[in-house]
Amino acid sequence: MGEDDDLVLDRLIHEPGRLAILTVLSSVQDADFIFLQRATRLTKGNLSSHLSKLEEAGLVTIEKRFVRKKPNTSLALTALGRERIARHWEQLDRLRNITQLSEEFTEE
Amino acid sequence: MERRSLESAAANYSYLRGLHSIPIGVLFVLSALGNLRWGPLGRIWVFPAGVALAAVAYLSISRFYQQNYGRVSPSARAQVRAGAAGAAGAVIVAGAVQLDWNFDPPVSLTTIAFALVLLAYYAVGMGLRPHHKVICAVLGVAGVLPFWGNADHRINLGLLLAGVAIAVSGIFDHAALRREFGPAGGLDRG
Repeated sequence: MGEDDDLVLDRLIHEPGRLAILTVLSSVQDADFIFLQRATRLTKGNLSSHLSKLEEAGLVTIEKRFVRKKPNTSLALTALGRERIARHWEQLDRLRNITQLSEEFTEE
Repeated sequence: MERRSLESAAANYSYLRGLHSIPIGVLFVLSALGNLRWGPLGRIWVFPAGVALAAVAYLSISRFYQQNYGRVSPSARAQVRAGAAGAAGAVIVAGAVQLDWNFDPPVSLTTIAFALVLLAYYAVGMGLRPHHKVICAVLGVAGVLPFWGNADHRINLGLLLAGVAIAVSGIFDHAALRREFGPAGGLDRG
């Protein structure tokens, strides 16, 4: 794999809603649906749809349970999800660095 | 996409659930006034009753936050850091109380220690907000003013002021939580 291939962004993760979900989850052990909705400011429907896609891809685990007789959805990153989001942010940082270098080169 | 603000959302949420600070602050005040034998608060049953009421209030507040803002388990690293900061804070305050008791200084080391511990607690956990700086500065300045009287007053008035500072800081923290995560009723529940 060449360096250019390395810089291809993961389309599944790059969508802003999913990037926000994975970034929030990357800093915690687990969180519930309401917290994720608050932290990402996504609507309930949007969040549900993104979570389904991320679960299908094996990036998050979704556990439905009852807390004080009320349904509660607990969410966590899988090991693969943790690895993919870390790699994605690395890629974005590298792209930003390359852009800055090329801007500096053009100015000179 | 603000990576840092998304990554710090859980830490901010943990520290900004400020209504929890109100029963804790009230307990500090109750404890101080009880120790000073202030009116009916000096009676032996008042403090245990206060602890029971504060525990009920704390649990109700936890339920309010969980229902309206959700639940999050911080990372193991964040939990260890909070535990270590709490233990270090307790040791510093206990040390300051001992110094106030044994050496009779003109200032209140208890109050100063509470100011520094509160400042460190917020700085380590989520970074200082302007209201933390103001409240801790006021507490610290009060601590260095030479008007405290005997050791009993130095320690218990320090405890009282710390209780007020904790409760006031909690009110501002909750306001910051509302600004950051939205008002309690404002969630799209589908």
